[in-house]
Amino acid sequence: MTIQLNALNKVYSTPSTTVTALAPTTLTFTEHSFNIIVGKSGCGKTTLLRLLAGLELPSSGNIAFENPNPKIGFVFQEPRLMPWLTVTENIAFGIKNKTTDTGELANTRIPFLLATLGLENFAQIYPSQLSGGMAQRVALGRTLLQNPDIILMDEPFSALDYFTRHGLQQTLLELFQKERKSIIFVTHDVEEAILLGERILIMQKGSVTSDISVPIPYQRDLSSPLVINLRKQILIGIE
Amino acid sequence: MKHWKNGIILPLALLLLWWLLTKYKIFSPYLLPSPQTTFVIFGQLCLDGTLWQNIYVSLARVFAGFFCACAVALPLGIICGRSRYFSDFCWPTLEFLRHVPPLASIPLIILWFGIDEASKLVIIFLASFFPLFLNTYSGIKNCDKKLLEVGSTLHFTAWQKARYIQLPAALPSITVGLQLSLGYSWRALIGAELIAASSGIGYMILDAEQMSRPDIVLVGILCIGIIGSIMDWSFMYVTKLLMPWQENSEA
Repeated sequence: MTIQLNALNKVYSTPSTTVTALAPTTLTFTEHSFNIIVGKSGCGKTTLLRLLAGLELPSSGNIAFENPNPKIGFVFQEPRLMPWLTVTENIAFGIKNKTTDTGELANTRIPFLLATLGLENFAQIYPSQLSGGMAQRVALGRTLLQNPDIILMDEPFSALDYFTRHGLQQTLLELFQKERKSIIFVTHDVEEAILLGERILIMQKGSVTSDISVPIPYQRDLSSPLVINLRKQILIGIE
Repeated sequence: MKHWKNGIILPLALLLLWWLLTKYKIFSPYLLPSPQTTFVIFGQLCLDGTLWQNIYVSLARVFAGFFCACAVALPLGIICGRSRYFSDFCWPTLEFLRHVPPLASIPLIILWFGIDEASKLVIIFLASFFPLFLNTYSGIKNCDKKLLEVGSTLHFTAWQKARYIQLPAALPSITVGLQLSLGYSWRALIGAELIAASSGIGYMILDAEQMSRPDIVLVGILCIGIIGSIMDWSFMYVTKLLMPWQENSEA
């Protein structure tokens, strides 16, 4: 599903000052694409994502979705699991608002997600007993069960150690290649942006300053000259 | 098991001190009867059924007052926690009432509700209302905003957020409120039974005081403490069964 941002702008006002979190931005996210938004802390990445999710209202401009009722999934920086629910119940949490029969989802899709995300042995465990990586997998499962058209991800792996992060990046890539969801992924990690993105948007001080296509097939080698050049290009863009 | 063993040391030491104080007649037996005398009278009161009858009446009063408090404090706490307008509307009145001890209102309560069961229920109700109301209110009000945002991203309605996120998130706080409230109900019992009661543990104590029977007073006090502890332990046990995730997070 295509998303069109039209002069989308967000300003936070306090009695003493006004801060532009997102300067007027016009941009298109195409269907089935893996978009990365990369930039330093405080450059407006998360604001853009929250505007897309409807968690914030724009100060001006608008967002036009191809489908008037888009199904949007959101994976936060922290897992934000419900502590009183088990892993399976947390994954199924999003279908509590469905009025239609959810039996089929519960019977087939949840076991599939538990298996895909490596959570089969943790199905009846509570979040307090999970590691950070496992908890983030559950959060991803909860979003995927919604079968969203677009998945918004706000630095979802930033708090994880290298090995866990690498494992989850691979899982996410496999899911993307299998299901071809549109993904908008915010990160401040340049290597993560290069490993995952088909398109990398660089943000600085509330504006998108560069839009880079990455025509390199997946399972990218970080030591290849193409990737090293891309890394240089991104770092120059961010600086 | 180790905790249980540690916990029994102090009561045994106090019992020993009590026995020594009475054996060497440091206090007159008219003021402090010996443990033996107290346990003998405890046995007699059990056998003739007086004690059970009084315990039954007191428990019935406590639970009736406690359930009335739950029926009002729980919904009011939830509504105040959810609605800023309703909270602003109720808060000054509740804040005023919160600072008035129920015992201070006894003369008015007798005037308004008479000397029958109603006035006793009102005192227990007033004593147990605020701990439950305030804990429910703060549990709902202080629900993690990040969890509510999850509800927004999952397209939950306001009702679904309240039902599936705010209420379960507030459960630990509500449980603390229920536990405090039950304890306060039990503590308010003597105050409630000061009002022309003819039965109940409080009545038994007051009657024994007038009859100069400190042994029966001690039996009454011991019963209040033991029954209060049993209620508290039972409540915590049920809470652990109903909220296994709390147990896990503590572990």
